[in-house]
Amino acid sequence: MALVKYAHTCAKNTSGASAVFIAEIANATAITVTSGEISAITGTTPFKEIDVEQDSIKWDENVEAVGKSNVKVTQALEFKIAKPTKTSATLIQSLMDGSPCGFLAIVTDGNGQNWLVGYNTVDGKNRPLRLTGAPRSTGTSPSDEAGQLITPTFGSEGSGISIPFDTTLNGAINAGTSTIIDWNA
Amino acid sequence: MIKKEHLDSVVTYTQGRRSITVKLSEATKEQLKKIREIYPEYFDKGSKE
Repeated sequence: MALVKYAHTCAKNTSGASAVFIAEIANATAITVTSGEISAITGTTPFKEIDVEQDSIKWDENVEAVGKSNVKVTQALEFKIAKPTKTSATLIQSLMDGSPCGFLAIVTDGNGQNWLVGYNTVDGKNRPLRLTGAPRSTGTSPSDEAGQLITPTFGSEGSGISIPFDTTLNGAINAGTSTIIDWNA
Repeated sequence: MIKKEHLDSVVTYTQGRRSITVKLSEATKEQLKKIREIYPEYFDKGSKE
C-alpha cells in the first residue's frame, strides 16, 4: 500500500472499551473486507456476548519492527468476569477447549467503534487469538477489590493490524441487533 | 461478473482446514465459484464469474 495522508478530526476521543464478543474461529465461516472495513461475516451467530465487569476490558495492539525489513503485530486482550460460579467455570472451560483452534473477538472501543481482533487481511484466519491465561484469586479479605474476579487473557502474533467494522455492521452491533452475535437475554 | 463495488473486497473463506484470503479482482475462477456460493450478492445476477 502506498503512503497516504492523514487528516485530524476535531471530535471527542475516549479511552477504554465497553463490550467484547468472542467467536470460535471455525464458526465465522467467511469474512469480507471492503475499503478497509469489515463489511460481512457469515456464520450462525458465531460471536457470544460476554458480560464483563465495567471498565475491565483492555485490548492492546502492538506493531514492532523485526529487523530492517519486517514488522510483526502482537494482540493482547483481557477482561474480568464475576463472580466464580458454575456459569463462569463453564465459560472458562469452553475457552480452554476452543483455544487450540483459536478465537476471533469483537471489541467495542471507547469511541463506539467495533474492531475485529484475531483476523487481518495478511494472515486471514490463520493466526487467531488463543487463551493465554485465566487467573483467579479469592483475594485476601472483603476489602480486596481484585478478589473473586476471573481474568481471561488472549494473545496472538501476526503480520497485519486489526480491522474496524463498517458503518452498517458497527451500528447493528452497537444497537444490539447484529445477527452475527448471540446476545444475552 | 463481480459488482464494481466489490472488485477490491478481500474475502476470507474456509476450504477444508485451510483459510483462504483473496482479493476478488485477483481470485481464480475456482475461488470465485466458491465465493459466489457464500456471497451471491457480490456478483451481477445471471452472470458468470
